[in-house]
This record gives sequence, structure tokens and C-alpha cells, in this order.
Amino acid sequence: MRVANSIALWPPSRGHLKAFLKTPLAWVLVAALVGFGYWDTAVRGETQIVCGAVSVMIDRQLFAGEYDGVNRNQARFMRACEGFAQPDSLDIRGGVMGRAWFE
Amino acid sequence: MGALSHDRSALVKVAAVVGATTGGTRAVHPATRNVVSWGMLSWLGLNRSFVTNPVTLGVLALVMISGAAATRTHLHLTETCAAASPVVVNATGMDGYYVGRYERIAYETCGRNRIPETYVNAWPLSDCRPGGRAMWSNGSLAGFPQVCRHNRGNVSVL
Repeated sequence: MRVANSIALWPPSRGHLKAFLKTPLAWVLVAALVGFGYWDTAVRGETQIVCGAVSVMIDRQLFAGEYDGVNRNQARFMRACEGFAQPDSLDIRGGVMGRAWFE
Repeated sequence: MGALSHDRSALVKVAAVVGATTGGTRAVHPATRNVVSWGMLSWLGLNRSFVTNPVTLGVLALVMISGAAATRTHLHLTETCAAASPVVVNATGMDGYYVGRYERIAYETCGRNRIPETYVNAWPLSDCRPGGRAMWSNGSLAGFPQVCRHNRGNVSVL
């Protein structure tokens, strides 16, 4: 009942915030929150770099006429990089968009 | 007799540790209750008012959500590197293939621990330092050419 009463006190009063910040464990929680946020941002940046680098590589090889269509590996890569960088020259639905698309 | 007293002292030690971590066993000598005590937990702030504080519950929920999101992002990068590996490595078998600097960027960003074992030693790499040559990630020289910025200029698509 006491727990339920405490949870019902929302938004928390200034007293709750002060009491929270006075404890060392609170700062551990805040540090964990900041750390997880930093880790998430850093790994997202790395994913963006990997997707961008491989996408540029695919574009370069495709413009040189080496690829023919979207194979299973490329489709898997493009699905993994959804929301990040994608090759300009491939369309996962329509296949090759490169040379045949703009020439 | 000696073995019996040895067993008994071991039991007392186990009881001390259990009692210290749970705070429950009162029969243990106070001198042995020094591993983790409720006093220490209370000093850290872990008491009833802290646990029932709505701010604590909110921050705890945020920590769990952000931890799950970060773990998911980490796994997603591993999957991305695994998906990119066959695309990069299989391209080396095609006629006219040349390696650029982007293969190295992807390789170094993924790291060897995220690239599947099948591909980790077969990744094409460029070495754009003066006198450098195309190579495989296991260190051996590769047969395909490399194209660096000083070969093609800044416009490096074609």
C-alpha cells in the first residue's frame, strides 16, 4: 500500500528529487544512464560508417560494371543498413538502378 | 577431530558470508559480518524510501530502456558487419575488381571480432601509403589493384 501510494505521487515533488539526488546510488544510476546513451550513440555512429563505406564500395564497383542485380547478400546488407547509409545505385525492390537507370 | 574442527570453521565462514550478504543470520560473530552489511547499503542509499521514491523508479526505468536500446544497437552493428562481409569479400572474385580505401574503413570500424570467421582473413585492404599495395586482411599481398586518392583525385567514383 505504501509503495502504491508512492507510485501514485506523480509528478514527483521537489522533495523526492532532492532525496533521490542525495544518495550515492542515484548518481550511479545517472552515470549508467549517461553511459548507455553514449554507448548507443557511439555504436550508431560506427554502424553509419560501416554502412556508408560498404555502400560507396558497392556504388564504385557497380558503376564500373561489375555487379549484376541485387543478390541475397546485398539484400541482407541493405536490410541491415535500413535507416543508415544505402548504396545509391541499388534498389532492394527493383534491382540495379545504376548504369541502366540513369543512362 | 582435526578434520571435524576444520569442517566446522568452514561452515562458520560460509554462514558469515551468507549472513553478511542477506543480513539475516544473527548467530554469526559480529567480527565476521563485514562483507556487505545493511549499513553499507543504507549509506549507498538503498533503503525503503529510496526504492519507493518515484524519481528512483523513473530513472531506473530509463536506465533499463537505454541499456536495452544500447545492447540492441550493439547487436545490430554486429549483424551489419556480418551482412557486409560477404558483399565485400565476394566482390574480390569479379573481373576488374579494385580495392579502395572504403574496404579498410569498414574493416577497421567493424573490427576482427565482429567479422565472421569465414571472412576475417579474406577481407581486401588497400594500403595507400607511398609504396603500399593491395593486400588481404591476413597480411598477404593481393592480386587485384588498389585505387587511392592520389591515383584518381578527389572525385573517386569513376
